[in-house]
Amino acid sequence: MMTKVKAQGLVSDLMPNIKLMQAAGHFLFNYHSDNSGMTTLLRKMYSSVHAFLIVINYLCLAANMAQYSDEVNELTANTITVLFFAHTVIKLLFFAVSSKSFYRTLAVWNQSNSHPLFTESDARYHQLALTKMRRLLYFICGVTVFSVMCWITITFFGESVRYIANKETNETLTEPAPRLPLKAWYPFDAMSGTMYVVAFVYQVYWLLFSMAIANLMDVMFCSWLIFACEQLQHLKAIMKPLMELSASLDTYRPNTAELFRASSTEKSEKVPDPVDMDIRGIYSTQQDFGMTLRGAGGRLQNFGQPNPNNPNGLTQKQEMLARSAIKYWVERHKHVVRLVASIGDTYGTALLFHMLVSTITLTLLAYQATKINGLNVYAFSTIGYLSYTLGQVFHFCIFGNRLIEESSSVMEAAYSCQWYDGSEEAKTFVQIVCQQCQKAMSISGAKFFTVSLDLFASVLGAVVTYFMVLVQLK
Amino acid sequence: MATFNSEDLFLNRAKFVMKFLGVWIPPVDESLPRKFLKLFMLMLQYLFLIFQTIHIVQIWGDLAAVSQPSYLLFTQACLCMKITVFHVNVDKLRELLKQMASDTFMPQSIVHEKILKAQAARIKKYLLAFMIGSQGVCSMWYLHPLFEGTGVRKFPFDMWMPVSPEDSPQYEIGYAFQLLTICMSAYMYFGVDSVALSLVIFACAQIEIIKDKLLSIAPVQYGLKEKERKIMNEKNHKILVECIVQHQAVVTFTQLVEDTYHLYLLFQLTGDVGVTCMCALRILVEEVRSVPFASIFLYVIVMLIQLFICCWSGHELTANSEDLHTVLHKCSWYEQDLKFKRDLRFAMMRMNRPLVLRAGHYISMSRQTFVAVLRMSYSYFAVLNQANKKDQ
Amino acid sequence: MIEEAPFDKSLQKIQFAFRSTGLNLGTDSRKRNYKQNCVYLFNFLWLNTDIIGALSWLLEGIISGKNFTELTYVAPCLTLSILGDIKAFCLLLNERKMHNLIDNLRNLEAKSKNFENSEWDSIMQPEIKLFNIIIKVLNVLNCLMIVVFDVSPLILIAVKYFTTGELELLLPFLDVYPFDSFNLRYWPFAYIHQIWSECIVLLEICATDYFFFACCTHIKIQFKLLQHQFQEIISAKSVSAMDSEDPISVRAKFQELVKWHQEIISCANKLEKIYSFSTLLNFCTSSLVICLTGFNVTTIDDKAFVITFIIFLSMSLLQVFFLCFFGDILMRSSMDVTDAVYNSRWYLSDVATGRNVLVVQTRAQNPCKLTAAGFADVNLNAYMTILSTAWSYFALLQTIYGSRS
Repeated sequence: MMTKVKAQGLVSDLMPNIKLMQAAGHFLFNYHSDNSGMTTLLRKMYSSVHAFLIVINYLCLAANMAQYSDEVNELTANTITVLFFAHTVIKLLFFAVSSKSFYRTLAVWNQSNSHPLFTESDARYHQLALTKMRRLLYFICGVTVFSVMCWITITFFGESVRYIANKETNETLTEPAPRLPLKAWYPFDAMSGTMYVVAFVYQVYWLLFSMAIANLMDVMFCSWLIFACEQLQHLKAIMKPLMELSASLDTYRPNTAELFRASSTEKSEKVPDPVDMDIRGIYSTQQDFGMTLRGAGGRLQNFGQPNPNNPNGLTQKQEMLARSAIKYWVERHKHVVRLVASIGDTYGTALLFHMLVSTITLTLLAYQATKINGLNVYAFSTIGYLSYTLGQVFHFCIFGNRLIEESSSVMEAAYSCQWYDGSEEAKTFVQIVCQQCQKAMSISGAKFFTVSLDLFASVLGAVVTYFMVLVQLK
Repeated sequence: MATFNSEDLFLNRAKFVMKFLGVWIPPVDESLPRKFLKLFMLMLQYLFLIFQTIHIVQIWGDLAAVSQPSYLLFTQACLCMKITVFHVNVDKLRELLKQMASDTFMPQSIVHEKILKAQAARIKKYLLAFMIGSQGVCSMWYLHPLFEGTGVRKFPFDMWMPVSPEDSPQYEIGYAFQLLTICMSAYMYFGVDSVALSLVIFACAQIEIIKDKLLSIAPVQYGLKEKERKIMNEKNHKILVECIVQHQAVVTFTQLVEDTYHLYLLFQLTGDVGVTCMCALRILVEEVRSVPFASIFLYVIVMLIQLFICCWSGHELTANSEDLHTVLHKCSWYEQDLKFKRDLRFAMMRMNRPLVLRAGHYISMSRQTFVAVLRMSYSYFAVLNQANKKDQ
Repeated sequence: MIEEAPFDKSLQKIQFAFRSTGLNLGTDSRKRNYKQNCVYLFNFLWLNTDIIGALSWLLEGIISGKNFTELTYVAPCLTLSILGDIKAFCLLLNERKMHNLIDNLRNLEAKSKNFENSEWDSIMQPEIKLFNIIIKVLNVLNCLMIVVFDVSPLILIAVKYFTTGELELLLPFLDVYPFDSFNLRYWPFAYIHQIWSECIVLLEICATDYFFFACCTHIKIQFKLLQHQFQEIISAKSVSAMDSEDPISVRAKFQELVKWHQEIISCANKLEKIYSFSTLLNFCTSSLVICLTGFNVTTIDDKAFVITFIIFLSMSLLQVFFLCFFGDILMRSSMDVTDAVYNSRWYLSDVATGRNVLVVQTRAQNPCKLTAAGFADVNLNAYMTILSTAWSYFALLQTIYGSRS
C-alpha cells in the first residue's frame, strides 16, 4: 500500500502526457495518487478492454484485406491501411512489454544536483523545456483530432465501393460496400440500419484511440529529447560565468562580487555570509556530506598548502563555491549523457520497427500516387496518408537532429568564452569538455541507423526516386 | 585616419539601389511616409504574384501553356519571400551591421585594408554581372511585344490583368505596371542577394586577415636575452589571443548570418529547381532562333549565375576556414613558450571544424549543392516531359 | 588449484574445429606436428577436388549453353567452399601471429587480475555467456545443415522410388566427376566425398570465425576492465576541496593504466592484421552468395531446391552478421574508454592529471576498428551496406533474367 507518491523530475513535467496515455489505454499503471487494489484492477481492466477492442478491429481489417486480395488496387489500398495501423498495435505491445524501461527513463532525472549560483539559470531552462513540451503535446493532439475529422469527412464523399476482379473477363467490377471510414470485415451486415450506426461509431472511436496511442508515445519520446536539449542549453549558458569564477581564483578580476551574486533578482539575504560555514546548500548528494566530518571542527581544507594567491580577497565559502562549480557542470553533463543513453535504450527498438513499417508503407504509397488522375477522393486520401506518414518520421527526426546539434555545439560554447584569460585549471576543464563533446550524443534505432534529418532526407529521396521511376515505367 | 567603413565598402551598391526603391533598413523611428513607400513597393510585387497565380489556375491542365508563366511565378514567389524575410529580420540585420563596424573587425594595417577591398571587389563583380544579365532579360521581355509587329496588342507577360490590351490608355498603364514591377523586382533581387552574400564574403575576408596576423607572429631567436625573450613571448601571445578573439567573433557573425538568411537560401534552392525545370520544358516548345527562345535561355543562364554565386560564397567560407587550420601550423609555434603552445593546441582543436553556411539549417551551400540542384531539375524535367509526351 | 584463465577456457571450446581441420591453436605446442600437417593436406586435397568438380560443371554448362538461371545453381556451395578454403589458408599463413596474439591476451588477463576489482565477475560473465551461447547456437545450426543436406537426397530418392518405382540417384551438390557418379557402383563414394567436403568447409569457416569471436570477446572484456579502473582512479571519498588524494599516487596509477591501454590497442591491431584480407574476401563472397541465392529462391519452382537455397541464404546472412556484430562490439568498447575517463572524477585532482586525461580521451576517440583490408570497417553499418548492395544486384538480376524464365 503506497502512500501518495509525489511526482518529481520528468514525471511531473510529463504528467499531462502520462494522463492522456493512461486515458488512451496504454498499459501505464504507475504514477497514480491512489493505489488501492480495487482501482488498480479497474485500471487494468480498462486498458485490457481498450487493447482488446483495438486488436479485434485490426484483425477485422486484416481479414478484409485477405478476403479481397484478388484485385491489385484493392489489395494495395487495404495493405496500406493495415500497415498504417500496424504502428498502433506495435506501440501498444511494445509499451506493455517494456514498461519497466520507460519507468526507468522517467525516473532518471529524479535526483539532480544543484549549485546556488546556477539555480536561476537551471529554473529558466527547465521552464523553457516545460513550455515547449506542452506546446508539442497540444499541437500533436490537435493534429490527431484534425486527421480523424478529415478522415470521417472524406468518408462521405465519393462512391462507397469495392473493386473485384472478374477472373473470366479480366476486368474490374465494383461492388457496393458500407460507407464506413475503414473497410473491414464484420460478422454482421453493416450496409444500413442500426448495425451501420454501431459500426460507424465503433470505427470513429477506433480511429481516434489508435491514432492517439501511436502519437502519444512519440510525443513522450520527443519530450524527453526536448528536455535533454534544454539541459544542454543550460550547461552552455553557465559556461561563461563558470570560467570567470574559475579565473577569479588565481587572477585579479574586477567585480568578483558580481559573480557570487546568484542572480540579480535575488534578495540581498541570499548573498553568501562569510561567517556561515554551512555548506549543505552546495552539495546535494550524501557522500559529499562526509566532508563536514573531516578536518578539525568542520573547517574547510585547502588544497595542499594554503592558497597564497588570493588576489580578489575571496572568502572561504566563495572559494569553495568557485571550486565546486566545475564539479556541478561535469556531473550535470554526465547526468544528461545518462538520460540520453536511457532514452536510446528504451525507445530504439520501437523506432526501428516504426522505420521498417513506414518504409514499406511509403513504397506502396509511391506506387499509389502514380495513379492519381485528378482532384478526387483518391488523390486526397493518398496525399493524406503520405503527408501523415512522412510527418510522423519528420517528427522524431527533427528532434533527434536537434539533440545532435546541441550536444556538438557545447564545444563551441566552451571555446567561445574567454578561456585564454583563465587559470590553468579552467583551461584544462574547457579542453577536456571540448574533447568529450566532439562525439555528439545521438539516438539510434537499435544501432542500425541514427535518428537525424539525414534519415528523413534519405527516406524522402528514396520515395521520390521510386515515384519517378514508376511514372516513367507506366 | 578616418575609420574604415566596411559596410560602405561591401554594401554601397545594394544600399543605394534599395534606398532608391524604399526598401532598405528603416531607421529605428521610421517616419510614416517612408513606411507607406515601403509597403507600396512590397504590395506591387505581391500584386504581380497574385495576378500570375490567378492566370495559372485558369489555364491549369495544359502543361505547355502552364510552363510559360510558371517559371516567372517561381521567381516572383521567391522574390516576395526574400523581401519579406529581409524585412522581418531587420533587427538581426542591424545587429550584423553593428558587428561589422565593431573594433574586432577593424583592419589594423594597409595589408588588411587591401584584403577587404579585394574581397569586396570580387563579390561586387559577380553581383554586377548578375544585375546586368537580369536587366538584359527584362529589356528583352518588354521590348519583344513592341517589335512583334503582328498587330495584336499583347502584354509582355501572360497573366491576369484587370485591364484588357485593346483600350488605349489602359494598355499603356498595364504595360507600364508590368514593366516597372519587373524592373523593380530584378533590382530588389539584386539588392537582397547583395546584402546576404556580401556579409558572407566579409566573413571570408576577416578569416584572411586572421591568417595574415598569424603569419606575422615573429620567431623568437634562440640567442636572445631573457628580458627581450619575455617581451617577444608576451607580444606573440597577445597576437594569438587577438586572433582567437577575432575568430570567435567571425563564428558568431557567421552564425547570425545563417540564422537571418537560412530560410531565404532554402527558398532560393527550391525555387531554382522549379525554375530550371520549367524553363527547360519551355525551351523544348519554342522554336530556335526566335526572340522568346533567346529570352528564356538568357533567363535560365541568369538564374543559374545567381544560384552559383550563392553556392560559391558558401564554398569560399568553408574553404577559407579549412585553410585557417593549416596556417595555424605554419606559424613558428615551436619557438614560442609553453603557454603559447597550450593555447594554440586548443585553438587548433576548434579550428578543425570548418565554418559551414547551411540553407534551412540543413543543406550546406557548396559547389556540390549547385550540381545537386542541376541534377534534381533534370530528373523532374525528364519525368514531366515523359508524362507530357504520354498525354499527347 | 590453478584456475584456468577465461581465455583458455574459450579456446578449449573451439579446439575441436581446429583439430579436425589441421590448424594449430597453440594449446599443446607451438610448432605444427606431423599429424596436423597430414590432416590439413588431406582436407585440402579432398576439398579442392570437389571445387574443381564444381568448376568443371560450370564450364560444361557455359559451353553447352545452359541459361543463366541454371548456371547459378552451383554458385552458393561453390563460393562457400572457396571461401572456407581461402580463410583456412590465410589463418595457416598467419599462425605465428595468431600464437603471438594468444600469448598477449593471456598475459593481459593475468595482469588485469593485479588491479583490485570488485566487479571482475559481473563484467566478465555476461560477455563470456554471450560468446558461449553464440557458439552453441552456431554449432547446432551447422549440424542441422549437414544433416539436412546429407539426408534429404536419400529421402528424395526413397520417395521417388516408392511413388514411381524408378531409382533416380541424386547427389547433394552439383559436381562433375571423371567417372559416372550416378552409376550405382560409384555413387556411394561420390556421396561420401561430398559429405566430407561439406563438413570440411563448415569446420574451416567455423574455426576461423570462432577464433575471431573469442578474441573480440576477450579484447572487449579487457577494455571494460580498463574502463572500470579509469572510472575508479580517484576514489569517491575525496572531496572537491582538493585535498586528500595524493596526486603522485594517482599519476602513477594513471601511468599503469595507460600502458595497459596501449597493450590492448596493440592486441586489437594484431587481430586486424591477421583477419583483414579474409574479411574482405568474406564480404565480397557473401554479397555474391546472398544475391545469387536470393535470385535462385525466387526463380526456382521445385520446393526441395527452394528450401535448400533458403538454408544457404540464411547461413550466409548469419555468418556475415556475426562477423560484423563482433567487429562492432570491439569498436564500441574501445570508444567507451573516452566516456570512462571522462566519468572519472578528474575535476577533483590537479591540473597535470587533467592533462593526462585529455591525452587519453584524444587517443580513445579514435576507435580500434577492424577493417576489410582497409576498404570498409567491420561493423553493423557495413552489414547494412552489404545487404543493400546484395539487394540492388538481386533486383537487377530479377529484372533481367527473372522475367525471361
